[in-house]
Amino acid sequence: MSQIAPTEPASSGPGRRDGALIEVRNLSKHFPVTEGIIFRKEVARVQAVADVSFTLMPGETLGLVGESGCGKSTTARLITKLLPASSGQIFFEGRDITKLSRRDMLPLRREIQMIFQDPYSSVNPKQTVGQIIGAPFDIHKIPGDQKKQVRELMDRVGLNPEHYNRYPHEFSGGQRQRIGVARALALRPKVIICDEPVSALDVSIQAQILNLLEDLQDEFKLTYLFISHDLGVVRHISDRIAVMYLGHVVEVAQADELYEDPKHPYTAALLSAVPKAYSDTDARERVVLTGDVPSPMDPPSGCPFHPRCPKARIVAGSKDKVPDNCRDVMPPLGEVASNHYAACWYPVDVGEKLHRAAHA
Amino acid sequence: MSQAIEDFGLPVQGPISGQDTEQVEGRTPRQLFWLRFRQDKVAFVGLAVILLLTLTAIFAPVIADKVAHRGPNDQTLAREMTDEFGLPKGPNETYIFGADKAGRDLFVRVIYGARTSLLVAIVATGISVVIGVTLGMIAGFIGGKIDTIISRLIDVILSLPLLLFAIGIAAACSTSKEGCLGGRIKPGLGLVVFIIAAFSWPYIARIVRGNTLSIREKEFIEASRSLGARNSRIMFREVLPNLVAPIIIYATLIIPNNIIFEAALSFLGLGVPQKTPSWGRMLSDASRLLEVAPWMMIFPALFLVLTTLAFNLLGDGLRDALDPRAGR
Repeated sequence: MSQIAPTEPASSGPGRRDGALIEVRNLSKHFPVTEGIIFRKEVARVQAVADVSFTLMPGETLGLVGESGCGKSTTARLITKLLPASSGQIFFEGRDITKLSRRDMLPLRREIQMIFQDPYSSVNPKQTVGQIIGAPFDIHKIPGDQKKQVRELMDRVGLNPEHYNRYPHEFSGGQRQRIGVARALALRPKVIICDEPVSALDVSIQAQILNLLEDLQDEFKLTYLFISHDLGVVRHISDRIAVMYLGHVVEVAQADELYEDPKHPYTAALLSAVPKAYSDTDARERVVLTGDVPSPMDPPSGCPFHPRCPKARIVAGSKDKVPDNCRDVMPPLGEVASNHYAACWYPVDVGEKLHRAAHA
Repeated sequence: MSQAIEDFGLPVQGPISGQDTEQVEGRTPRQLFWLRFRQDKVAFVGLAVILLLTLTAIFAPVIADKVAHRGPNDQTLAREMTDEFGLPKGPNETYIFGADKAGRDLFVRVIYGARTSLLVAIVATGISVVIGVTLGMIAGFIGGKIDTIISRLIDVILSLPLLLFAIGIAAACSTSKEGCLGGRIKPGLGLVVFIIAAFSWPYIARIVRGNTLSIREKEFIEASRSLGARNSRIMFREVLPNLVAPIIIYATLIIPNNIIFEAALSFLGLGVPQKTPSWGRMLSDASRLLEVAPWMMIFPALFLVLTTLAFNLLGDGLRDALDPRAGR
């Protein structure tokens, strides 16, 4: 992927902005696929995250959307250093944290926290709520009355502080997620990486947790990287949105602009698939993509979306053909409108209909 | 058992909303376990038998003194308790379990035998749990080459012909008073414990490794890591508490195996020293006189069966109560 990467995408794309809290530059992660019991040899690679660059400005919420398996969660784990990056750099307040050891990373852990997807798996069933939320204080040896601090946190996230000594099995999914939120909030971080924090919850509970996250953002001046596959949720909470496809960031824009004027054909197709309660657009205008997402073990050449792209077929004038540059060269994440970046050789025009191509 | 013991599957009692003011008493996992265990009559009987046996074993000298008025190697009544051909006499008022061929009280020897059996089995199981949990957790948690080495070691030990090797080691180490491995392993009780522990830790290690592998992938491990916890904290504070249930269950289930193993070694004359009463050795002695003195076989065998059965029932009950989601 990197051999045809455009020169210095970080200098042109959204990957460099002054004053960024977190900056990710050309971040890649591949997982080796090995064979053999005693002598392991690498037979293939899964390219989970490929050459991803973006910034996270203080106080904003950046939404990261994409289908299952597009590398959203891997990106989150790379930023929180739960996984080592294969290449690329991660900056926190201008400091390169990509290669920091556990010990050097420890002070920064207080600044970057994470909320996890599965409220049933993200809290230890053998610990009391007090122990779970108190763990950050233990690990960072924070002085003071820990019980009091934990009770305050519980109160803040909407848990009854009386339940300090209860075990997670006594709580519902939404309440368990509040435990996770309290734990992430304990060290007063600057950034919280939310990895699909509401995907496992009922819709009514989702709203409660989203409101809680928004309230906490106002109160503690938090910055969120909000990962989700739910486009409605992401639009609701995000200031800016980055769309991922097959490990690549294909489009970054302000939330409303992205929804109203998607430039990347994939974003356009994704948005047209959102069910609407009251729709003024005809169901036939939906852009239905053909085929499946290609295997990240064997990604397509050039633009990762070209085998399924309706726009490329319009440009080529045939449903069996795509332009050569789509097939051969990965398009850089370029500025197609003011603060609107898309990695596409032929960005979608305003109001352009793609569904005809898709159905052609 | 690859399924992790995540939490307890009982429905939560009463409303637990974050805002409720009315106090609903929460139940700790321990209380939930006890509630479920109490309903299991069979396991309860097992537990009662084990407690009774343990008490008998602990107070064997007192019981022997008060009830039978003689020790395990007392031969003062040997003349009365054997007939003119030197064959032992059956149960009567003085010797309630009858006599063995040396004219010793079988009842006293059986309750002293419980001491040997329980001591050897429990100490050996304790050692194998320590080794098994340590190596199993290291293998499962660290993974990679270390996991490969430990896992293959487990496979190798489990594939050895157990009894044959045990006999070999026992025989080799019992030939002289020096013992083997440069005198580090002396013949006697310690040797039996060593052999049993050496062959039973792989069972625990395998279970612990499997459970650790599945717990390691849980998000709460990642959460702990993202807070900056070191590996030792994650292993002891996050992983180990989740292993307690399988460890208790499997320890309870290998105790009867180890009791039988000790009996087998003693039966073959390689177990505990000559004069120490042991069910296995008593069975071995009885085998030659089965037709004329069946009581010599019946009583030790009955206790052996009862003990192993009780431990197995308790183990099953513990599994049901600690891990209700595991299928049978």
